[in-house]
Amino acid sequence: MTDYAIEARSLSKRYRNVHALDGLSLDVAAGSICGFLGPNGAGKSTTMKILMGLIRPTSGHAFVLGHEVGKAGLVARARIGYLPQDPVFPAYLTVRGLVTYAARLYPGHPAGQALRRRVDNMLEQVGLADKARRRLAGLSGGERQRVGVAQALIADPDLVILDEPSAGLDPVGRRAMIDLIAGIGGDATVFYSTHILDDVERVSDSVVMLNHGKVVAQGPLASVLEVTGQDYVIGLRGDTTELRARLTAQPWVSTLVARNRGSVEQWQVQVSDAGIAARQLVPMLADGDHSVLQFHLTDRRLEDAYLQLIGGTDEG
Amino acid sequence: MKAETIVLRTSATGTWGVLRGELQRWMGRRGLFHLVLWLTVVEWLLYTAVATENQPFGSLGFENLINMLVIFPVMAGMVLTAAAVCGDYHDGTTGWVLGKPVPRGGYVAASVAGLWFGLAATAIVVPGLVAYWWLPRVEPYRFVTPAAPALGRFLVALGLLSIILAFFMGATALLSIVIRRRGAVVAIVAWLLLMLRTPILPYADWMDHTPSRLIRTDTSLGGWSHVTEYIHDVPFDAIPAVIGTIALTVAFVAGAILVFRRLDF
Amino acid sequence: MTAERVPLPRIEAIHPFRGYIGMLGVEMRVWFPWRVAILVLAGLGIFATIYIPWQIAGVNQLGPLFLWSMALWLVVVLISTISLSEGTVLGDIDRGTISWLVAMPIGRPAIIAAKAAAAAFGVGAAVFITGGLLYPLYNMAAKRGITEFTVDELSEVTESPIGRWGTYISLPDVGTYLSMLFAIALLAAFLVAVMILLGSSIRSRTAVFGLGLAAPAFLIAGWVAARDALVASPVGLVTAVAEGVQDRPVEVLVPATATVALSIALVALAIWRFGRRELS
Repeated sequence: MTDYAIEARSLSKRYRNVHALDGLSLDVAAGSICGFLGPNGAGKSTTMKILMGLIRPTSGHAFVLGHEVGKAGLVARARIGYLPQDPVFPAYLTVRGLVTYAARLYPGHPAGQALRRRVDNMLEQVGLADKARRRLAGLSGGERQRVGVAQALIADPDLVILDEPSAGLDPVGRRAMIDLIAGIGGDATVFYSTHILDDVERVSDSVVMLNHGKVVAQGPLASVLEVTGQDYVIGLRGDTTELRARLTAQPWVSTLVARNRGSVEQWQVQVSDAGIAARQLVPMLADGDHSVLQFHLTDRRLEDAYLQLIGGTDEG
Repeated sequence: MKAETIVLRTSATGTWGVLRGELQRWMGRRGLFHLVLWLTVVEWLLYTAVATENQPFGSLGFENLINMLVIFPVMAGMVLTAAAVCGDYHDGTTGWVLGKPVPRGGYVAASVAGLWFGLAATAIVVPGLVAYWWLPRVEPYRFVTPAAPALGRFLVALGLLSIILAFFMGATALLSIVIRRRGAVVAIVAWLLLMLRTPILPYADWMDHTPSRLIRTDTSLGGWSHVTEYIHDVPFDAIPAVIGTIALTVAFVAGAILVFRRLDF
Repeated sequence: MTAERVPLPRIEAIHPFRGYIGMLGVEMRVWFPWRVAILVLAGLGIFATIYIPWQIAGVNQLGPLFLWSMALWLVVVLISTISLSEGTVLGDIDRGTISWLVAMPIGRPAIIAAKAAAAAFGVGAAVFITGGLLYPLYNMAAKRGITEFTVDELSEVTESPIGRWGTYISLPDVGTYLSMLFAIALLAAFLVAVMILLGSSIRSRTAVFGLGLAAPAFLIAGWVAARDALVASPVGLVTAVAEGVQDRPVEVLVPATATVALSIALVALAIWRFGRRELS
């Protein structure tokens, strides 16, 4: 019995001279919703395909629901629902036909009327009940995505792996997708990749950030945001030259961006150590030939953290 | 439940699910299309060959029929198998199915078996039985060969042709998984069919263990294939060929599964 | 410093064949050198497949060797042409390449015409290269102890079981041989036109492939059943090859003209079909 739905240890995948993954290790707690982030080409889809047994890693091990992927992947997949990136389904099937076909591939699936009811409920959930008899070839990209989610969830899996589930969806569809993901979490573990950071902030318990095949940050959402620091917004009037020089010399100040708004100078100060900043920033501001008109701490956005972590490792 | 039982049950469910999907496809538009196509082509060409004054294939009704029930199904089988394997690999459908609890070996076996069953039924058995009914009733043919062959022997012949179809489909599946270019696969299997069926190569002992012994038209057999001879009451003496064909088919599919298990999707 | 913006000439109307030369260059690179090389290797492989076992078995008749290898080479050329040109149109539609091309100022007719021309030229070049390499090999086979024979009726040869040759054939002269190659190249070009039309009209690649394979089957059936009536057609080219194998005078002008006209008509029909096709 394990507390983790997904465990990866030193996973590497190499294609000739390209290292798609380079010693990746990650853990996803059972029952959590984990957002998997990274720029294009970071290795997210490769990681997911390794977890699904579609790709063999060059080295390393991965465990899914306690089963090692290379040895017992078949048994693990009986409890996983998977939506690949840009899914391609047999064009000759209808929407209902595909979801029914997918259901029948899982052991212990219902049969007859019970299966039909289950499929109908699932189609209702993803908003495709009125298109059940339409052929897959005649669906839009967003509709295909929703069919993809339906076939991933039809067997009531313990782990749901979704590769960019919101791709191609309009804002309403995207919101419905996120609500669906939020609804699954708790009963099942959800591990999904996306580029829409607002969605991750809204529903995820934890995040894993990937870049160049390596994990650059992982853990509960709040701690990832904290680690990347905090921002102070300070409004000043008067001579701020000396204060600015003193502040930027501090090791706990990451960046200082200044903008003029009329007679007021507005600073955005990014600090790397919240504790030291809390003790030393205010006394420093109090000392000098200037007036402090505005002072507050902003909520760090995931986007800021993402850009800092991914942008920082890009330069490195 | 023991771990082995769980694996077995999961494998069986996934494999059966794929096979069922393939067979259901043959119950619909695809099956109807192939049924109409092969009935039209085989019966029309056969009638043209035996019922007109210009009989380019000779007055060998059942030999013509057997030839058609070899060539057309094999050509169709290799096209469909290459399309299923290469096409699904390249467009991503295979990757989607393998994300389900379907064993890779089961997927290959079920896909080929489903295609084979549907094609054997629509391109060999049904056209063969229809021709068996009307061929002895056609006047010019009756003049040459008045007695209709025994139904039992004819059914066995259809079974042999189905096994030969499986042989070529197995070869196509293996080549498709290795080469993954349908054009090249079809060209190679077509070449194989020509080599085994026509007396291009000098006769050699190893041919007794391949489909060549069953379908080759050779001098020592008086110009008929052994399957046709068997229909016309000649004792069947090609058991090694049948065993060899089945063994090779199993080997092809096993080889295909072996390579398929190592592919990335 | 920003670059000076040079205004592009305004195009009032697009000629249907605009971009043909550029497309032709692109399509030629698809066929040359690798696809042509594959076709050449296949032809040489056919010769080796027959020659080597026959040498080992001690069969010393050039006639059957030449007949079988030419017959088999013809079948493989036709099937290989179909295989290689099967994805020319539909493959690009499936991949989305054609949608991207059509969004450029390139006429739809130019795309189809360029694909047809490049494929026809590619298979034609492969036929002549292979044929040119095979002729000295046949000559060599004749000189290395394989006896030459002559034949009167091709039907007797094809229907006579091997080992009971009562008649003979000889290797055709260069002129006859070149005419045969020309006939084979035109047959392949005709099949290219068929595949282009099928690809422009049908959505399923499997159906295109299957129907394409039926085309040579109908050609051979037509040659067997009604070759005299179908002289002014691609069937006449099959007759030309059969006559050439017997070292007889080859009548290629009438069937060649008819085949070229028919191929152009098929490509024109393909252009019309493709022009009306929605590329979703």
